[in-house]
Amino acid sequence: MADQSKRLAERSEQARSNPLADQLKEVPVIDMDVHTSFRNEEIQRDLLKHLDDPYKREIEYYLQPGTSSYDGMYPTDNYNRDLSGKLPTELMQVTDPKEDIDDVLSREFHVDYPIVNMLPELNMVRQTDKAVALNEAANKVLVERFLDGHDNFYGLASVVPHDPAAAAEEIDRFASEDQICGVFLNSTGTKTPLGDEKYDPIYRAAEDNDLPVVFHGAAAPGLALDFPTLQHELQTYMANHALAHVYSQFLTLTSLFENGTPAKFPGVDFVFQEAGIAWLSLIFRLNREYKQRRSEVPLLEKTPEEYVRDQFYFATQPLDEPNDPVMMKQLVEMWGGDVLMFATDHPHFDIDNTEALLKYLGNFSEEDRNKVLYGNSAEVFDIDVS
Amino acid sequence: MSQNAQNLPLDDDEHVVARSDELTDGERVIALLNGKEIGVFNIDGELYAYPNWCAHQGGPLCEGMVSGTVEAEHDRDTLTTELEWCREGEILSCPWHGWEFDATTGDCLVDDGCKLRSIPVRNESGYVVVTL
Ligand code: FES
Repeated sequence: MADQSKRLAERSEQARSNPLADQLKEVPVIDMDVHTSFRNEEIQRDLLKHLDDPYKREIEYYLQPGTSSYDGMYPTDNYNRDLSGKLPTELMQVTDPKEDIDDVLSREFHVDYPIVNMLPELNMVRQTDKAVALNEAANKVLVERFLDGHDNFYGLASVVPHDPAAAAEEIDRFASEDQICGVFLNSTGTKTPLGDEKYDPIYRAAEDNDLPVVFHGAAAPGLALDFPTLQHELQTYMANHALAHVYSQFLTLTSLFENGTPAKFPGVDFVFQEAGIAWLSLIFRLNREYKQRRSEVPLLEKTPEEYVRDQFYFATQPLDEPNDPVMMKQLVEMWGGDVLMFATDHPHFDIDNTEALLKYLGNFSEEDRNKVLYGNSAEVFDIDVS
Repeated sequence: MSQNAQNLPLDDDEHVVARSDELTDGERVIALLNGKEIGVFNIDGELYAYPNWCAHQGGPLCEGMVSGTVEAEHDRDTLTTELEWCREGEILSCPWHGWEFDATTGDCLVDDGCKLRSIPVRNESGYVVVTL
């Protein structure tokens, strides 16, 4: 277990003062992918207030040192994610909204409005009832611990794919919370791809409540189910992590078009996190497939790219790294103010600094630059930045 | 006026491509006129002609299958989707990449910018005459 007292998301004073930082002083920034440390003891203790037995009792014992001989509460995989400590999975523990989010993100990354998700990663919890109960409890902790009393904070209420009708009810419940601004789904370990019509109650509930649906790519438990060769036959976490987010987002995006989901629910905005943007070349391939085989996807009334530019958004994080930075500029310019949204992924090892993104926006008009830094998020998540 | 085997009074740019009784409902001919291949279709008794040259990548569009296509309707209350086979006999699919065209208008079903160029065609004195 890494030293939980370290705060490695913080940088030196010299690093903090630089010309790019100066440029960001006057611009509001929305960070649409901020995580909490869900398995931290403080957060787990919060969950207890919102759980009944047997799950309450399970967590109580999970938290009691020396009780259980192995960690069975939450599914995990078995990779050496942190290279035995060289590359900490979490740069710090995020349990306190002010100290661990607001202070750090505003000072280091110029963020004014964090959009927080609990990242409970419950897709692979076997029992439906348990996954639904833990997820609902997580959403309550999100509101109580992270949003209440922090007016510049917003949150994504998560749902699990096990029981779409229950997920729709959860969306109806949380939509009344002022600071809940979207629905959060992990794209990994969903068993059935997320565009399948069995999930339509989730999209309808999102549309009814005027909330976007956010798909979070992750090398999360469940990858073994979606992509068994990736999980079992590749040798390293380097390979696993390179493909996990992209594969799960490939599958999700393709599935949404296969099933005509954006045409069925034209009021829903679809947002993708944590796979960078180079993978968006898939959209051009989907264009081609759509034109060749339109009669298989007759709900679609226009090309996938047209839907994307109207109804889809993509986090820039983690910034892709072509050896020639000019190519990265070209990539952001291809999608630009239409679809990109800034995100940090705080506090994980994929973290992006706003200044690092800003370097590539040199050719953007001020208007388009601002859309990426906050405008698109402000519109989709209905955040007033004035 | 040009000379033609049928002794019809035609202008130089007018060409006979078939006898009308050969090009019956549902049939097509592809004619080579001044070095250009032209596909002529009889759909429900109406004649339509287009260049045999797909606007996508130049494939032999007019040799593609003429059939129908699928349309869908989604019911938001029941969350069900109903599929319907429709426009039988009117949809021309390019054999190279399957792009669908409405053979009665030249409209491309997958790309608004790619309408086919309609070529004038008519029945005259028992012959099908194309004007290039
Ligand atoms: S050439 Fe006709 S569809 Fe491609």
